[in-house]
This record gives sequence, structure tokens and C-alpha cells, in this order.
Amino acid sequence: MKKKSITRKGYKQMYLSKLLLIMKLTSILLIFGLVNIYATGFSQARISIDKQNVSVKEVFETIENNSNYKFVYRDADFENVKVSITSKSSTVEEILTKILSATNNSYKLLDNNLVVIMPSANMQPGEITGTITDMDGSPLPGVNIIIKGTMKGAISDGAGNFSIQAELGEILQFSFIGYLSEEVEVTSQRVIEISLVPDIAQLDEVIVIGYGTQTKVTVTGSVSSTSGDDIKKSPSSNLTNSLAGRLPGVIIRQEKGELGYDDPTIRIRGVATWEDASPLVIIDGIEREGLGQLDPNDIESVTVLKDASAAIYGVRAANGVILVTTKRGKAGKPTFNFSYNYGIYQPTRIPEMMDAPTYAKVANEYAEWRGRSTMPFSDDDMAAIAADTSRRYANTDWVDEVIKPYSVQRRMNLTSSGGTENIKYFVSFGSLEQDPIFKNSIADYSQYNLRSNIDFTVNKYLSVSLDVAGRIEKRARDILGSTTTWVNTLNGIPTEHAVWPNGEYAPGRGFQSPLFLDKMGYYNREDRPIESRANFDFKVPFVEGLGIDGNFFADFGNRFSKRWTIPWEYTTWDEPTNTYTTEMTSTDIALEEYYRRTSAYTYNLRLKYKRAFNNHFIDAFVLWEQSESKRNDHTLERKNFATAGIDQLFAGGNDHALDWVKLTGIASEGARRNYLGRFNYDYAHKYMAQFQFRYDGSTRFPKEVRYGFFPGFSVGWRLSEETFMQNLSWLDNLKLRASYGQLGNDKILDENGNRLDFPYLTLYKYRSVNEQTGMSVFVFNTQDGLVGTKLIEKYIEPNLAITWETAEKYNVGFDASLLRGKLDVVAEFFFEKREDILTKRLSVPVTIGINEDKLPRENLGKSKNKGFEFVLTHKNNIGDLQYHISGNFAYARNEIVYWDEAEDTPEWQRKEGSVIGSNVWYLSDGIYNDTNEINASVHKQVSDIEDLLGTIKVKDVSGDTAITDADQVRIDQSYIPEITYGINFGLEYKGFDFSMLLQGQARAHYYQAMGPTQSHYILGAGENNLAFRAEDRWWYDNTDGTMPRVGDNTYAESDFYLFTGNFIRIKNLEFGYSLPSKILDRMSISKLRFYISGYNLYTFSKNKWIDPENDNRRNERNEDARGGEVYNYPINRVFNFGINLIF
Amino acid sequence: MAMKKIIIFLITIAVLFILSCDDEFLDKRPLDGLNEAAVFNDPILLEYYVNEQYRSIGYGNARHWESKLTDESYGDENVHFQSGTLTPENITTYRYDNDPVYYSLVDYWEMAYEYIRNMNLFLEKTVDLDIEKEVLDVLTGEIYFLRAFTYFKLLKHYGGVPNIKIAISSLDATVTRNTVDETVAFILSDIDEALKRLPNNYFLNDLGYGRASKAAAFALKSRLMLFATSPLFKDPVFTFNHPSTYTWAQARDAAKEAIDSLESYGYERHDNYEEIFQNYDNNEGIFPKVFLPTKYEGHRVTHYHAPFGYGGYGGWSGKNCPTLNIVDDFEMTNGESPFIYVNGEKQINPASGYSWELDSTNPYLNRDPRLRMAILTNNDEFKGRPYEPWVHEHPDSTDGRDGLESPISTKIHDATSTGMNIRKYMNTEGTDGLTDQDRFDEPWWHFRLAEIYLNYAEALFESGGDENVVREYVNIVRSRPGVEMPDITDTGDELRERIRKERRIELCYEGYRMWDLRRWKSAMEVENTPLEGYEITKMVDGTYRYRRYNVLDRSFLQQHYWIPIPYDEIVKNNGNLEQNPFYD
Repeated sequence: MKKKSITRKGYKQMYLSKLLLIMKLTSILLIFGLVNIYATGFSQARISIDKQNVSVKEVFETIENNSNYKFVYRDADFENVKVSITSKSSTVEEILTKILSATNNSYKLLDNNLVVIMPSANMQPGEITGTITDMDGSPLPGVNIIIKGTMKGAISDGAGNFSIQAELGEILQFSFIGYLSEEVEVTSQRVIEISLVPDIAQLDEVIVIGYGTQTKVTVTGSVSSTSGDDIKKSPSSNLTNSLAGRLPGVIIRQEKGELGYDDPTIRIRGVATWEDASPLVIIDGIEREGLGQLDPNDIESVTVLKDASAAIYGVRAANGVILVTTKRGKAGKPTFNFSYNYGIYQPTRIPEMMDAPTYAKVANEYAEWRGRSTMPFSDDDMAAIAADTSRRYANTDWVDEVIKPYSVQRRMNLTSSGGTENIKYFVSFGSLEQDPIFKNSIADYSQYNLRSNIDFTVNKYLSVSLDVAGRIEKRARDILGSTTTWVNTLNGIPTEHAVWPNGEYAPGRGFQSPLFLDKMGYYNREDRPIESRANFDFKVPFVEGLGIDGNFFADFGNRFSKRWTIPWEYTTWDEPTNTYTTEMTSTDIALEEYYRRTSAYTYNLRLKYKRAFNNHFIDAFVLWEQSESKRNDHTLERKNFATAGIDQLFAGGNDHALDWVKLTGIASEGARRNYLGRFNYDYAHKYMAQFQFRYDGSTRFPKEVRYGFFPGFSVGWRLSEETFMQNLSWLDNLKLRASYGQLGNDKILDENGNRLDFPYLTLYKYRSVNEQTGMSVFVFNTQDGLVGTKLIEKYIEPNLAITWETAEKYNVGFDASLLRGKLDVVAEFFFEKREDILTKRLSVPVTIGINEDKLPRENLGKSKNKGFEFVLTHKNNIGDLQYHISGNFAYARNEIVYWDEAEDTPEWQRKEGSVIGSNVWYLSDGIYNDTNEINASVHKQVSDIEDLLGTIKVKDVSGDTAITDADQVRIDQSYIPEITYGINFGLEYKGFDFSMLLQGQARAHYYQAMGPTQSHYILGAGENNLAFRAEDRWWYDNTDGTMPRVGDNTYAESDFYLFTGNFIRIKNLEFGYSLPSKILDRMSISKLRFYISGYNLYTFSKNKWIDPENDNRRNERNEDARGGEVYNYPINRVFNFGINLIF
Repeated sequence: MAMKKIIIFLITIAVLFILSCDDEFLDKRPLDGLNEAAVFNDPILLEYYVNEQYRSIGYGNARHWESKLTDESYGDENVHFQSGTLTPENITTYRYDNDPVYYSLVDYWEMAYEYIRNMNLFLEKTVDLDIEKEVLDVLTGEIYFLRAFTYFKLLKHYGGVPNIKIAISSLDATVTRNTVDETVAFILSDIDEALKRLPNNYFLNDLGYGRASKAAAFALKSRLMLFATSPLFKDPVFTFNHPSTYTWAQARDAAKEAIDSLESYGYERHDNYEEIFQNYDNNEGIFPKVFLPTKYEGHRVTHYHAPFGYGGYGGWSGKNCPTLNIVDDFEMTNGESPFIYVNGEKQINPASGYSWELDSTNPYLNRDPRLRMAILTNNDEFKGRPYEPWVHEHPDSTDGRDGLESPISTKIHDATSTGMNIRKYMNTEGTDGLTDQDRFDEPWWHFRLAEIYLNYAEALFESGGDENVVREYVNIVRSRPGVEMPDITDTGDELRERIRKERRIELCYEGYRMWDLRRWKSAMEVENTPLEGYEITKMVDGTYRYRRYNVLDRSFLQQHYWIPIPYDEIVKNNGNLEQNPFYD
């Protein structure tokens, strides 16, 4: 033991003092919401020193006073050692090298600028042995010992003992998950006893919760989080999409991939309401829009509150809360972080449509079915089409003609952060650009993000911050709209030419060939949101732990859009005479300008108290907050422009009566006032209890019942801290927790999904004009002659008793950390009861005079939702190889408990007991192959039995020997997956890193109306259809067909068209290489990494012809929308190349 | 920073906090809605409120016409309706688009009661209003008239219905049906209230033209009484054993009262049949839905119904195609019907001069001039060119701009299915090349004098009145200049048939046929025949061949004499509301 350079006791004291220091630093950092503590090399700070014949100690102190470094050493080693040093503007490294080489000592730099000094010894080869313990002296088995820069290594045994062959001067690296790595240079000393310091950053990991932060070990609610670094790995153009699969219990469902309009639907733990089930999104402290448009490089963390822990957000929290925290500056040298991503993207899947021969055959069948004597395609035509020798008819694959093989997206970001103890800053600029998938499209998306988060420490009592973030989002859209264009592409008739033989563009579907997209005008939209926050934080002097802080948030939204419609030229071709005629569409030249201005102000003030009394930790606050918001919209429209040359309003026509001029606008405002608070008690990090509440008032409810009280309780017990658990050496941490809370959902929407600001008032409005019917205006002879007059209609039947949805949420779970951090397990079980869900009372007869659409919805509905989540994480190092694998699995199933349902609803159609979003369907039983089969079955009443040939046969469920609505059966599944999961895999080896995210869902289905919901989906009726629909269709030459015949429009709403929504996809894959620091150091670069990554790379699902997520089903409210048209703009897969430079 | 400054800072914060704690903070008001008190106390807003109620009665020349729900026209949408499959469960699918005016076609229940509530609310809220009495009186009269009209439409759809006179406040209220008599009496009392308040009449240049008047109320009363005394309303089976006790004599008197009043106001037969449906400048039309050829004030009839070769709506012009069933009922100019029925079998009437030869080569020759005023037939001049609903005999020819093989067409269902298109209510000016931007202003007449004459003729005949007078009133209609059909001379049952046929021809496509067939109880016979159309071929020699074919086999079941009340409504009323007969 004598040979040890430093006694164990010495080490221990040293580490203790270090620990205290770290705790101090940490607590300072925590106030600024910082999570990680970074280890860095010596900074470039330069110190001038001139000391002659002084004690080494004195030199150290001087350095300490002039830099951030702290020295740890044993006094005895430097007793009576005097040194002289003169240096001007030297780095600390240089000074230390000078002093220590003179005193035969060496040094080592630890995290947080701690410098450990110890004597060097003579250098001899041989075996090194020793024992590794933790801070308490317990042996640490399984620690990796490796000789730096070699593959030679060893692992400590059960008693923490190790043995390794090492040369003098080599460096032993001790690394162990959950502890800070240590390096010890091999000296003459043969036995090394070392105790590893727990990685405070990991054990003291802090996560963001509502209105604050909490150390992870003491969290008692159901809270999941992911870091900005992980999010960055997904090269999706939309940040929200990058969250998919990373947060257990969070369902991210992207329905369309149109550039600039690709926000997905977010659901937390499934759904518990058929009203708006979207979660509350809090960005840096308040509710904000534009989660998808944040720059991933600005994100510190994203946290999800899934249970009572969201109660602090009161009436808005029942659907869960997503908390986004952006990065802040840290004291230290300035760091620049530059990244550039170049991605190419293309649709994940493109539905395959019929080719020309199939189309022609189908069209003839349809004509024959309709009893026509002439066929659209003669036999000669058919033969020529099949042989591809027809001049008149083409075999056009419209997708090939109009879609680019791939499109490009580029993302760039530059951040700078750093600061001194008094001023810290994080400044970021980013841009994103995306090209369209259509060849001649003018669509374009570009986004510019700017953010500046600055913290000032005024003095030791007061600090202030100022955050400003701005964004420019520019969306250029084709005038026809993406869905129409996609329909025009897929429905394009394959026998028609896309491009005539002379190279001119053919008219295409409805004269709207996607090849004309750049000739039709444009629809441009620009959004310029500005979000700002000013904050102060005051520590009350003389009362330790007491503080006051407050924020003022001011957010402004500006949207300007311009829709310019112009006619375009198309060419027709007369095949027999081979003449081309160019014509112009009769489109009106029209301009619409839309301007929206929003503002939201929120201010809050908090009194807080945080203090430890021995083992009692208290963290509490009360907070007052209020906010108000306003919105104004204007639409200006003018038509009958003389020329398409001037796209400005002044140039349009004047006549109001002819609708050449239109001016409209809407306005709304709202406000909230809240009182909230939290009380946290923690005994020795062993027993935790938390109470939080929000007393929440808003303008959406009648004055008398405007306020609601929303409490949340939770408790935690860390069994692993109990003495009886201490001897379980494999168990590092085990925490049981439980929570209960009451939360609300106040998203009150009208029939059309627009927010209803005053649902408790009877309101009338002028009837909006409907140009289709001539019924929105009545013309009477008045003083002004024959003029149209206004109409006033009631638009809200009030609900005087309206209130919010109330949710009661229960959650139990445990967090366990096993095998020295190699294995982490989180398991949670939840149960939720939702009541007062706004529901139309269906039992109200319409004779009362209020039709179902206007009936005030009442707080009648009830539901429940339950499920569980598991997360398993395994991390390990094998030599230089670090890897982790993490799987999350979530199951949530809801049940409608009460719905005002007609009393005689058959058992098999009842909503009660079924899941939200389910529908009723006829149960299909194949295709009617012949008339005998029809006669033998219970079938639909028709005048001619032959009409049913080749149609879908459905079951007579009600047994009344007739096919009626009563034969539809509610299928206990919806488009919302009950199971979602993700598997995350990552490894790092030397400079290489690899990560992969698999994401999947199960127990969901989707409806694919390739068939006849509208007449143009009817097979053969003059539009193209899915190839799949025409394959093996019933016809006289195929009476065993398995798909319905042409023209079938019976039973579109049958499960025949229902497909499983299960899938698993390679959501994300990334492979990177970081250049070794040896090379970079010379260039003053701390990191240079190249990577390739992919998003939505491959999808495994049963049906191959459409992406199962790409479904235009809108939301839970729209119970009758079955969705599932093939015509939703496709979602994308991205291949990306990126570079990241930190200097 | 000195501690003092910090203290001042904190005080400032505290002051700001106190300042923002005003109690009214959460008392926001809506910025873009009108509250109820404002609507009912401002004469201008009140008038707008009344204007809204004019929607209750709909109008007939929208996108979907009632003509295709009966034997006047064929259109895709009527296939199901005419297949005998109309049920209480599927009645709600007989709404078109989302605008009530479309579904007023058949499924009128919901729309009617919604407007009845609005009107009841008006009558309740305007009792103590501080608004000039004269103004309020007229508005109130209009409301009474519109409520009467709405109930009349309910009556013709469903028979006796719940008479709801108040704006019900309880969401749990259920209702029961009133008898035919009770509903008729309620309507009559509303008409009386309207007559007390409304001005006599409005002609085109009168202030208020387009609004309801006494003239309209008298016309409505005449129509109401005609229905209330018709066979269907007298049938115990279809009236839950409470058949109407109103008599033909009452119907006769109502019609006579209407004629006398209307004639005293200056109404008279207009001496140009076509013009009535093309402009407002006549004294025959009684109560119009007025249109202007402007975006929101106009209608799209011509665009919706023009042959697709003219730019008809998306190529869907074939959605209201006149049938041979009605064409066959147009007499020859000699006053004889081309077809007669012998033992229920349709045969050529030799006296008419019509022949099968004519039927296949030139069927429209020598017909009642109203045929081509109402229906666009092959080769008729329309919008500057001949109408071409044919296919050319030569297989390579794509001539026939409005026919199935037209090169303009990309869809099989573009062309007319019967070889004809609608002409009545169409704008005949200009050229082809219609677009969806076009708006038209042809009037829709809720009533016109010819109807009242025929109402009177029918009621007088049925009440056993003087047949000479009956014939006189029919002949007024037939002898209109430009129509000039020979006077009728029939008597007895043949006279009844003549009156009914005259109604079919004179009032074709004006929304009468479907309801007349029901109230006469002749639908079982008439509506069970197939719809027929012509396939027209232009021969190489330039002549045309017409081939009759069955466009649609139809089925009419006895329950369809009444429109079913939506199934849900029966359920929601907890058994208090009775469904119409035979729907179980």
C-alpha cells in the first residue's frame, strides 16, 4: 500500500470535495435549465505568471484564481517544494508541464476543470494488479480496463480485482457504465487501487417537467424524454415526424408528405376522447404552435408528460403534454456547431394504377354493362393498344410522366454558444429547403429559423434572460392543390397521351395535366412567427432557498398568402388529320390575398422555495399566470383581371355584384387566468411525494363555471435505497411510483373542427354565400333596385352548461437499473377515465327544430383508456465498442363507456363498449359469381337480379332476410393503432457510429376506398383505378373473379375494403464517422463528423400498394369519415448525407 | 447593481402584477357573431332574419329537379328512388350535397322543422318589439306565409304531421302526428294570418318584388285545398283512419277566391309560353324566386342541364333527360294523343296521324308546340347551333357533338341517356362554351296563374260543377297564343283525364307531376312503367333513326305514396311518432 501514489483515504477526500464542487456547479447550472455537464480539455485561456521561489501550492492558487481550474493534490507531495516560474500568456498546460516536470509529478485533467496532481514514478514493465471500488469502498466487478490506444484489456472480477500486463508510460483506462472513466499512467507502482466516481451527470440526470426540472431519480410521474441529439438523427423535414418511435406511448402518425404541409397527428397513449385528442405542446414554457418547424439543432430535449404529472397544465392537459426545451449557452469558450444535410427523397410507395390495355378492357366492360351498343374501344383499338402500336392511344404511366425520380431537401444550421459566468448565449441560425416531387411543379418549401437565448447574471441575487426566436416559413404551392394534382396523376387515363407526338403537352385529366402545374399560377404562403420571452429570477437574500421569478412571453404570428389563378394553354391533337390546336382554358384570372395576424401575451410570477434539511428535500412553488390572445384575418379577392401580367390587387375588375371583388375577415380573442403550484417532498431520495395543482380559468366557459381545479398527486419509493436491498449488488436502482390526477380538455370545436370561442352564447351570423345554390342570397326589389340581400342564420345553439372534459388518470410503474447500469427497465401501467366528453345528444328529434349539425353538444360522453408501456435498455462497452439497444412497447386501448346512442341500435352496432374511431361495416362474403348464388342468398333488393352479378356479397347479420343498414357490424378496431413500438439500436467504435430505429404499429386498420365512394372511383366509369382493383375482377369471362365487377357501387362500406394497418418500418438509419481528434486538434476543430442517414427507408406491411400510414382519415371527431383514399399526397422516404463540424 | 435597484425592480414587478389583476380580464365578448338581442331589436337585422326563412320553401330549378324522381326525366340519381327501394332508413340519402335546398327534393323533414323553429322563434320574440308596426306587420305576415308553405310541403310529403307552433326549449320533447285535417286547419289559419298582414301583390317594378304577398297566399290556399281533398288524402288507409273531411267544394271555392283576387290585382295569362320561364316581365307568374345573372344571386340551371357538347356541367348534363313517357303525352296539333291505351296496352292512336314510321324517323313532327318549348329535341336550334344528341352511323365518325361518341366526351355518362335535354328554364341566348362561372337569372315561379286555372277546373269538375266552365278554364290555358291547341270537348271521366293531362303538359318540369300522381293515387299505375328514351343515329344519307329503348325499369310500391319519415326520427320520438303506412 505504501507504493500507492495517493492513499485511498486521500482519494476519497479529494473526490468528496470534488463532488461538493460539482454539486455546487450543478445546482447553478440547474437554475438555468441545463442538464449535462461537459468534460473538456484545457481551454485556450492564457495566464501570465511571475513567481520566484514560491511553494507549488501558491502557483496552483494563482492559476485557480485566474482560470476555471481547480487543483487536487496531496499536500505532502509538495511540502517544502519551491519553484520559480515566469511565463507570459501561457496556457495552463504549459505552466503545469514546467512545474511538474521539475517536481517529478504528473497531472491529469478531470471533468469540470479539476486537475489532479500526483507523483510520477520510475518506469518499469510488468504486471499491474489492483482493486476497483466505488465511492463507498464496495468492489466493482465488470469494469473494463484497457491500455489506451491498444486492444489489450481486462475486466475486474467479482471482488473488483484485476490484473493486466502494461508497460511503463502506458495509460490504463478504467471505464464502467454509470461511472466516470479514469485514466492512470503506469508508473513503477505495481498495485493500483482505484475508486471510480459515479457519473453525476447520469445519476443526477435532470429532466424537464412542467414549470421546472427534476432529477430523474426522484421523478414520480410518467415522464419520457428524448434528446435533441437523438431527434437530429432522423433526416425528416418535420421535427414532429422525427419523434416517431422514440417516445414510448407517443403515436406519431403522418398522413401526408406534402412539402410544408407534412405535420403528423400526435396522440399520447392512444385516445380517450372523440373530441380533439391532440396533446398540449409547450415550447420553452408556454403553448406554442410550430413544433414541426423547429430546428432540430436548437432542441435540448423533448419531454412527454403522460399522467398526473401533466396536472400542472390543468384544463388543457388531459391529452398529455409535450414539453420542448431549447438549448442555452454554457460558460466556457465559444463553440460553433455547423451542420449541413443534403437529402434526396421520394414517395415511400406509389399506388400502381391500371395500364392502357387493362383500362381499355375495363372501359368496354363498363359500356357493355350499361347496355351500350357502341364500345369506347373497338376491337382494332384494343389490339393496337395491347401491341402498343396505336397512334391515337398511348400507354401512359402518368406517374412516370409527371413525378421526378427523386427530389431534394437541404438543411443547414450554424449555432454558436458559450459565455462567461455572467453572460451566456446560445444563438442559432438554420435553414431548410425542399423541392417538389412533381416535375413541373412550382411548389417549394423553405424555412429559416433564428434563435437567441441569452442569460445574464446581474449579481448573486438576480439573473435575467431574454429569448427571441423567429422563423420564416415560405410555402409555394401549386394552384390546384396537392390532392387534386395527385388525383389528376393517378386517375390520368392511361390510353391518353401525356405528351403529344410533337412534344406539346396533352390536356390530361380535366385539362389539368400535372405537366401544366407551372402555368396555372401559384399559391404562396409566408408565415413569420416571432416568439419571445423575458425572464427574471431573484434569490431572496437571507432566506435560503426562497426565490421569486417571472416571465413575460410575447408571441406574434403573421401569415400572408397569395393565390393567383391564371388560365393556361393546352394543345389538342386530331389524330386522323394530324393537326394540333392550341387553346386556352377559360379559367378566370383571379387573385386572393389573405392576411392573418395573431398575438398572444402571457405573464407569470412565481414564489418558490427549494431547500434541503439534512435528508429532507423540499421543492415547492406557487405561480400566477395569465394570458390573452387575439386574432384577425382578412381575405381580399379580386377577379376579372385584364391580363395575367400583373398579379396585384389593384389590377382586378371592379364589379362587386359579379363577384370580382370580395373582402371578408374574421376576428376572435380569448384569455386565461391560472393559479398553480407544486409541492415536492423527498426524504433521502428514498421516499418521494409530490402534489401539484392548477386552478384554471378561461373565457371559453360561462362566467359562473369558468374556473376548474386540477390536482395531481404522485409518490415514489426507491426500494434500492433501503438497507435490506443493499446486498443485491446487481440492482443499482429500483423505484416504485404511482400517481393520480384530474385533468381537463377544453378544446371545444364546432361541427367543422374550428375552435368555438363562446359555446355558451346564442350567436347569429350572416349566412356565408354559397355560389352553388343561389340560396344564400335572396333578391328583392328594394330602393336600390333588384339586389341580393343578406340572410342571418343562427350558428350556435348555446350550451349554457358547457364544461371541459375531465380525465382521471392513474399510473403505476417502476424504474429499475440493473447490472451496473447495463440494463434499464421502465414499466408502466395506466388507466384513465374520461367524462364530460362533448357529444351530440342523438336522441333529440329533429322536430324540435335543431338539426343534428347545430345541436349544441353536451358533456355526456364517457370513455376509459388503459394500457401499459415497457422500455428496456441495454448499454455496454466492449473495449472501444460502445453499444446500446433499447426497445419500447406501448399498448393502449380505449373503450366508449357512454355515448348517446339510439336505443334500438343493434347490439353489433353499438358504440358503447367499442373503441373510439371505429365504424360499422357490412361483412363481405366474397363476390356473387352467378345468379344461383344470388338467389340462394339474402341480397339487396334490386329490380334486376343480374345487377348483382360480380358485386360484393354481404352477410345478413340481423337475420331479417333483407340487407339493410342493420346488417352493418361495428368492427372493434380503428385507424388509431393500439400497439406502437420502437427499437433503437446504436453502436460506436472508435470514430464510427451507427444507429437504427425500427418503428411499428399494430392493431389498427384502414379503409381503402379504391372502390365506389364517389362515382369516379367506380371501376370503369371513365377514370383510372388501382391496378389491384381491376385484377381478377368478376366478368363474364372470369366468373370466379375475386374482385367486384366494373361499375359496382353496392356495399362500398364493407369490410371488403378494410385492410390491416399493421406495419414495421426502418424509420431511421444512420452511419457516421468522426475524424480522430489527433488530426482535428491541429486545425482547432473539436469534431468533424460525416454521416449518411435515411428516413422511412423500408416498410414491411401486408399490402404493398399504398403506405399504410398515408391515409387521409382525418380525426376522431369525424366518425363517419372512413378515409383511406389512395389520393392522399404520398409520404416520403429520405436518403441523406450530412456533415457536422464543431469548432 | 445595488440592492436598492433590485428592490425597485421587484416593486415594479409587483405593481405590474397588481395592475393586471383586473376582474374583467376574462370577460371577453365574441368579435364576429351577432347576439340574439341585437338581431331581434334592429329592423334591418330582423329583415335579414326573415329573409333567411325564405330558404324554407326551396325552389325547383336547382341542380337536382323533382322531374327526375317521376316519369318526366331520367337521371342517374333517380335510379334508386325509382327502384322501389325507398325506405325510412335510406331516405336521408336523398339529400344532395350539403345544402338544404337540394334535399328539399324528397327528404324534407329535417329542413322543414329547422325553419319552423326559426319562424316560431320569430313569432315569440317579436311580441314586444320596439319596431315600427307597419314594418313588423309585413315581416310577420311573411313569416306566417312561409310557415304555411313549409307545412303545406310537409303535408304533401307525409300527410298529417306534428303541428309545432312554438320554439321548443326542452331537448327531450317528443311529438306526435296531427291528422290531415288538423294540419290543413293549421295551415289555413297561418294563411289567414298572412292575408291580414301582407300587401296585395308585387309586380316586377314594385318595391318588395320577390317577397310573399296576398296573391301568393291565395294561390297557396288554392293548392292546399286541392291536395287536401284529393283521393290520397281521403284514403283512410293512408291517413290513419282520419281521412280529410275537406270537400271539393271547398277546394273549388278556394281556387275561385284565388282567381278572383289575382285577377283583381292585375294577374292575367301571359301570351307567350316560353317567355314565362325566361324572364320576369309578365303578369302570370305569382311568386318568384328572383335571380340575377351574378355570381351569388344567379343560378346555374343552364350550365347544369345544357347538353355536354355546350359545356354542360362537367359532362354530367345527362342527369335530367326528358323521357319518352312525357313526350308521348304531348298531343298532336290536332288535339289527339299520339298514343292511346287499349286494355292497358299502349297503341298508336290512328286518329292522331302519328305512326311507328314517324316514331322512328321524325317523332317530333306536328306536336303540341309546348313540347319543343319544354324539351330540347334532336336538331333543334339551341344557343346558335343545332343540338346533336346522336351517334353517326359510320363507325369512324365522331360527329354528333352532344352524342355518345362525341370526341369532346371522355366519360361514358356525359351524353343524354334519352336523346333529349331540358329546355324549359334554360337560357337559350349566346353560344356553346358554357363554363362553371356562368350564372343565369331565369325565374322560378312558386305559383302561376295557369296552375290556379287548372286547380279550379279540377276542383270544379270533381265537385260536380258545370263541365262547360271546367272546359272553359282548361281551354284558356290551351288557347294561349303560340300554343293554340284545339279546345277540348270531353266530358265525364274523359274530361278528368284531359284535365290531368293538361296539368302534366302545361306544368311540366315545374315540380307538380310527382305529387299529382300521388295525390290522384295513380302512381301505382304510372310509376311502375319503364322510362323510355331514344337512341338516335344519324345516317350516312343525313336522315335520323330513332330507336326506343328502356332507360330504366321502375318499381313503385304502395308505401311510396307518402315519403317515409326518417327512421331515426321515429326512434327518437320514443314511439310517439307514427311512420307512414306499409313501411314496416
